Amino acid sequence: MTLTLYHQPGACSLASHILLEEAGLDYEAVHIDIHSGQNRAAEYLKINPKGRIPALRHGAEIITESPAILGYISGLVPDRAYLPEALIERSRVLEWMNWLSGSLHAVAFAALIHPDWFATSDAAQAEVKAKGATQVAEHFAAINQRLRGHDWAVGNTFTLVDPYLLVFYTWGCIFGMPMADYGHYRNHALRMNARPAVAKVMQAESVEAIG
Amino acid sequence: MTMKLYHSPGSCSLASLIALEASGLDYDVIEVNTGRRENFSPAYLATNAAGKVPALRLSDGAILTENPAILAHIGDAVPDRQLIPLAGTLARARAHEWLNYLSSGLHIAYRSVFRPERLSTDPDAEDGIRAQGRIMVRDALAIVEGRLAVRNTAFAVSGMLSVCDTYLLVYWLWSYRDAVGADLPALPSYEALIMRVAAEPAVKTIFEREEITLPTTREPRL
Repeated sequence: MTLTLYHQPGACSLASHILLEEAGLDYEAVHIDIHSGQNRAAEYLKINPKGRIPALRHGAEIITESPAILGYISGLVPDRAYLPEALIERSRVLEWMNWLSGSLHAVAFAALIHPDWFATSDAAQAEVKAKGATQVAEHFAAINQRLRGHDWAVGNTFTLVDPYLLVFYTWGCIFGMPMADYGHYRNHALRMNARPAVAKVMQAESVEAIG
Repeated sequence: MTMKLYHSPGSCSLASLIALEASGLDYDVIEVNTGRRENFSPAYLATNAAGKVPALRLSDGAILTENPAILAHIGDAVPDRQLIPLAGTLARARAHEWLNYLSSGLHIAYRSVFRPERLSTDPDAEDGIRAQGRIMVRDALAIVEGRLAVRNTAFAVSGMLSVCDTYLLVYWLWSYRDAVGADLPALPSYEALIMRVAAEPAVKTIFEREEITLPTTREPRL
């Protein structure tokens, strides 16, 4: 059965793209251009009614939501242990994923990038945007602290959290945030980029921001 | 050591409370009333620096945060209860799809309606933030309804009560709050699921203990 990833280069779908490549699975990456609104077009809404990327097709099944897709890919290659076997480590993976997906992406970055989703007046949108930038910086500082003394986010091995962390690092670079100040986070990004599968996908998506 | 749930009545920690009850495990509940801002007390911030509920103190004393992680942890702790599908299965991916969408989609939408002050300190901005929030809530509820309508299982992801159902129950209850208003999309599949969920013994036990009844009337928005 073919695996098809619907993605936008540089978006949070980068994490799923990286994990597919890391896993050595046979997959096809289909670009859904969110800048021209392809994600809101009828054809894509049949694939994902939420109009969001990433979505992963495997045979007749379509899976949405990055944490679910990353977990599903991990389940296809259980020997890689992208999702740890031990219950507490698995729960820590989920804790990281939900915090990154909810607090960092859906709250902080959404406010920074799309203040018009949250407020109507110009003044309120400016405040929402500024608050989003502050929250992103707070999250980066927290990530930096948690990575201190650790090569990877959970345990001593690469898990599905690590490619997701890289996404937000590259976004920080794109938004001109002082990523060099977050030394442990930066080392994590460099460690990620040293992996051949990561470098290959970063190049395929033209993401070069390591800061 | 018994697991301890830090819980605020009416908050999304209700989903974890029901999951613990359904797990058959021994557990303690520590009330952290967010309405009285007890979640920002120094004692609670030492437990969870983010000042959010729920948090779960595990049997080894460590703290686990983030509701979907707590729900999955409870489910995985008692695999024979089937509160969450086994890791590595398609059904498990469906469970995480639900947990993540409810947490980062629907919950965040409600936040704009219930707590506009979290987004802007300007009182003049509140109406606009609430209005945008209501649009997001309606859109997200329509997505939930659409997904439930095409499922082929009795409950959200299987033939039995799962942590996805207890989480869906929280946001069903929230949809009746006055600030949300009555002008919601039709939710027949969601309502039918909730009726089934509400008949589950663990849900009945917690509803009685927390004095919750299923609401029936939506308030028109003022």
